[in-house]
Amino acid sequence: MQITVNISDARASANPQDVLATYSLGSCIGVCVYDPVAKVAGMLHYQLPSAALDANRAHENPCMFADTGMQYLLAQVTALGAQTKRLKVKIAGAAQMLNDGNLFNIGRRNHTAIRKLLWQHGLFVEGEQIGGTAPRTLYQNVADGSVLIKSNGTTSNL
Amino acid sequence: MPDPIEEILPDATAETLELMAFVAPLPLEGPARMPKDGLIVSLRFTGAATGTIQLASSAAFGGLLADNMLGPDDAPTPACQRGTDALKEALNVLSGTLLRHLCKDCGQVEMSLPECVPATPESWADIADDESALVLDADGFVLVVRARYKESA
Amino acid sequence: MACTILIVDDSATTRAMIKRIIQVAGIPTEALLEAPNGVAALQLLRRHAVDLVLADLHMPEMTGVELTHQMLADPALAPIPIVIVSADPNQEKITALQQQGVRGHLRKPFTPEALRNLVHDILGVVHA
Repeated sequence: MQITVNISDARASANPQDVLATYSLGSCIGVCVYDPVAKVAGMLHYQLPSAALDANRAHENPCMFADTGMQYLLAQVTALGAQTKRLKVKIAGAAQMLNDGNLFNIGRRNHTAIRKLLWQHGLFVEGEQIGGTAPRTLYQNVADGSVLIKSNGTTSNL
Repeated sequence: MPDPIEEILPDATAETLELMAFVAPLPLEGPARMPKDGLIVSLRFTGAATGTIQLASSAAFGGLLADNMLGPDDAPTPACQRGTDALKEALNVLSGTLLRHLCKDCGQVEMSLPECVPATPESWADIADDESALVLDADGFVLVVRARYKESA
Repeated sequence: MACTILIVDDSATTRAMIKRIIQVAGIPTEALLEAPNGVAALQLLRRHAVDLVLADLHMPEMTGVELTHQMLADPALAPIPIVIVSADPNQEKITALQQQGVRGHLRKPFTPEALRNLVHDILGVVHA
């Protein structure tokens, strides 16, 4: 069954029949985590780098921000039996959208934010597809953690 | 004709901070006031091009860089030494990145080791008020970067 | 098999970060040694059996270039793989070192993954 992860949302599953999917990854970042031992998968789609930008919004929806969103995602996958130190992480997104073409664009800041968080948790990025100008769709198979990206009419494995 | 440093310095600075220490800088809004723990880090280069690259910031920002690079604080060295060391390393890495782009067609350049001194109002203003300097907000800390170079004859 | 890695860099912060990357990556190590320059590195190399040297180039007292030359000229040290981890902008210098026997090069700034993968490759650890 496909489980859709909306914008500013996070979902997890331990059902090998499930596929997690998120759409319209522009300057946002999709984070896929997978515990290959517990066979638990999780996906986060966040929009902004830090909850400090808007604490009220973060309280209402932690998944809007990288930091509170990752906290939420890790809680979801560990509740299903995953262990943080075993997680394999892949990320995609941070495209440079229209009207945000300068060096300090939000996509780039989102990318830096998630890399910092992952390092703080002692996690490596095992695969990433970052930047460009086209939006992306991300799929993650719960059965084996494999990740597929669709963008601009092409499909690739991450 | 645009100054090549002005074109390359922002990207080199952002790349260094982002990759080395997970800091995403932004243009600073407002004046670049000298912090109480202000530091000036300088590096010279010679060879096919000569010049200096400097950054003006604070010990506290250096501490943030170190914390980001290391994660939980488990280092035995005092926080101020970590900060100074991290700032010097940031300038070292930034300079290498900048010079690699700036001098790719002009030949070998050799960088000196970075040196760090406490900022004075005069030394801070010399850099921060320079129109060619890059003035940034780096995770809430002021960071000013200035590069001067000329190709050797 | 657990190995001994020597990290040579005048930046204590960089040495600590490299150590942490190796530890977080779960690379089995008997010891992670540190030196702030080439002189201290050679002293450690003469007292310990080291399996890999990660060396910066710009350091006081003895640069990474001089350290490399001294290691390659010493039959006891020449077999130890050396990886240069440096911000040096001169590709010709790096290429020359690799032609002389340096096994790898990682340019600063580097990602934790890039360092981990390079250490894995040199030590023959299979990526998980």
